[in-house]
Amino acid sequence: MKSTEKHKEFFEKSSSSKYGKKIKKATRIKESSIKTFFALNGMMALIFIILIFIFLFKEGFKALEHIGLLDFIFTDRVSAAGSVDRVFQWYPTSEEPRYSLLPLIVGTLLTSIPATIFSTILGVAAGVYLSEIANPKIKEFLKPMIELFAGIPTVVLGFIMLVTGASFFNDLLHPDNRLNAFVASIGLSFVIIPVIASLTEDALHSIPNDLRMASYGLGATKWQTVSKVILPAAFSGVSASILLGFGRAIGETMIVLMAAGNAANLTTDIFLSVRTMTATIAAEMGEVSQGSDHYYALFFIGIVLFTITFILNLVAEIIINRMRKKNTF
Amino acid sequence: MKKVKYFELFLILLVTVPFLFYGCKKKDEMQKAVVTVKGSDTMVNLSQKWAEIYMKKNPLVAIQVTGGGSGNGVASLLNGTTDLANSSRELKPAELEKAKEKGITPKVYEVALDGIAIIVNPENKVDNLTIKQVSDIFSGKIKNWKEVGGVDMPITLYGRENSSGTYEFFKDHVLGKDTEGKQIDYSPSTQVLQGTAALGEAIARDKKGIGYGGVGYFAERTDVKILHIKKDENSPSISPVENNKVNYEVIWNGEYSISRYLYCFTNGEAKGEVKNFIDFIMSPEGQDLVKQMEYIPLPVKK
Repeated sequence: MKSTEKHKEFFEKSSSSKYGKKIKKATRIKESSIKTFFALNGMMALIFIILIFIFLFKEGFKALEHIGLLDFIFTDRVSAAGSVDRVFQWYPTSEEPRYSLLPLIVGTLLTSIPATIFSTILGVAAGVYLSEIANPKIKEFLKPMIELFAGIPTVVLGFIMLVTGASFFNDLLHPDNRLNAFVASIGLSFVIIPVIASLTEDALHSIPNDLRMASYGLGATKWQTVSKVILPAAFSGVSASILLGFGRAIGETMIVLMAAGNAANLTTDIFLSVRTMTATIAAEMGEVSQGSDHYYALFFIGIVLFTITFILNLVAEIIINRMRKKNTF
Repeated sequence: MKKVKYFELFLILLVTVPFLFYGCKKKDEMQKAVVTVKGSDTMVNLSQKWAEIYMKKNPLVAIQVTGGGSGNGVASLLNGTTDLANSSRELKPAELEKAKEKGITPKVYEVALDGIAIIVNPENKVDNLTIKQVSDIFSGKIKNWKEVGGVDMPITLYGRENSSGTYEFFKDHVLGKDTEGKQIDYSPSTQVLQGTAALGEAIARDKKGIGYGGVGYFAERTDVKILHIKKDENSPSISPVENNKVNYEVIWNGEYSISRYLYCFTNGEAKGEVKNFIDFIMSPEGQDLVKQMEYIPLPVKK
C-alpha cells in the first residue's frame, strides 16, 4: 500500500512539474518511435517473402502462357523422315528451343541427395559427440568452431573443390568427367555438415536428463544409451535437421556452379557432369534478354526451386515445433 | 542522458549521411560528360583499356564500361540505358525488330576482330582437326580421341554459357547446320564454364578436354595447346598462333576461318562525346591498344 501511494505521489509530482513533463514527452516519442522501428523490421521479413512470392509467380506464370507446362517436361522433335523423338533437353537458346527441366531437376537431386547422405552420417555423429560424449570444455570450444565453419563463403568452397578437390578425386577415382556431381556433392557436404551437426546437437540437448539417467540405471552402456534411447527420442529433431540440410543443399548455388561441370546431361551417373536448377539460373539470368521465353523459363525454374525449398523448410519447422512442445515437461 | 545523445546522433547521421554522399556524386557528374558502355564480356577488358587511355587524354569525359554480355548490351541500348553497346555478334533479327518498334535505328561500327582458338591439353597428341571434325566432336558424334587420330580415351567437352557471344559464334560458324538445314546443337554433355579463364584452367588440368576461346587470350599460355584447323580435308592446316604470337595475316585473309568482327552499336548516328570516343577507337592509337590487349586489330586499309 505504502509503495503504491509513493509511486502515485511521484508520478503526480513529475507530471505537474514542467521538467518532468518534458522528459516524459520526449521519452514517449522515443519509445514509440523505437517500437515502430523494431516492429517494421520484424515485419520486413514477412513483407519481403510475400513480395518475392508475388514477383516470382507473376513472372514465372508468364512462362506457362509462352511455353506451356508439358514443354517443361519434354519436347517432341519431328525429324525430316517423319518419326517423332521425345527428348528431355534444356536448350533454351537453340533454333528450336527445348525447355525440359528434367535434366536440371535430376541434376539437382544427384548433387544434393548424396551430399545429404554424407552429411547425415558425419553431421549426426558430430552432433552426438558434442552433446553426449565431449566434455563441456571441448564442447564450448568445438561448437562455435562448427558454426564458424558454416560461415565460410560458399564461393571459396566452390573454388577449392574446382581447383584442388576435383583434381584429387580425378586421380583417385578416374571419373569420366573431372568436374562431376560427386565432386559437387562433397563440396556441398562442407556446407550442410555444420547445419546438421549444430541442429542435431540442439535436438539431443533438449532431451531430458532423466532418460539418460534411467538408461544408465538399467545398466546400459554409453553407446546403448545413445543409439537405443537418446537418438530415438530425438528422432523428430534429427530428421528436421536433415531436412533443413537437404533444403540448403538444393538451394546452394556457387559450389555446384563451380564444381558440378554444368552439363545439362540427363543422367543418374554420379561421376558425370550435371547441371542444377540454381546453377542454370545463376549462369543464364545475367545475359538473357528481358521478356524472352528463355527469361520466363528461368523464372519458372525459380518457382520450382522456391516451392521445393519452401515445402522442405515448412515440414522441418513443423517437426521442430512439435518436438519443442513434446519435450517441455 | 549520454545514451540519449548517442541515439539521437545516430539517427541524425543515419538520415544525413546518404545525402552527403549523394551530394558528392552529383557534383562529380556535373563536371564531366558521361558516356556509358555496356555489353559483350569478351570486349570488357578491351573497352576498359580504350576508356582508360581516352579519359587520360580527355579528363572532362567519364566513360563507364560494364560487361554483362552482348545480348544485355543490345537490350540496354534499346532501353536507352546505355550510349554504346559492345557486341561480339551482329544484331539478331529479333533485336532489329524490337529496335524498329521503339523507333531506334542502331548504327553498327566494326571496331576489332577476334579469332577463336580450339584448345586441348598439351599432353594430347592430336595437332590438327578439320572444321567438320570439330563440329562432330562438339555435337557429340565423335566421342573418343582415337577417332581423330589420338589415343584411346573419351573426349570431355568444355564450352561457355548459352548467353555468351562466343557460344553463339561458335555454334553458327563451327557447328553449322545438318543435312536437313537445322542448326546443330552442342552435345548435352558439354560442360559449361563461366568465362574464358575458367575454361583454360579446366583444359590445362584435363587431358581428355577440348574447348574454345579467344585466340589472344590463349596465345601466350603454355599450359594449353592451340590446334591447327583445316577448312576441309584438302586445305592446309592453319594455326592462328605462331611462336606464342597471334598471326594476324591468316585471320585477316580468312585462311584461319574461325574469326569474327567485334562491334559497337549506337542509337542512330553517333554524336558528340560518343562519336569522339568511336573515332579514337578507330584511330591507329586505338587499334594499337587492340593489339596490346591480345585481340586482332582491323586490317590496315591500303
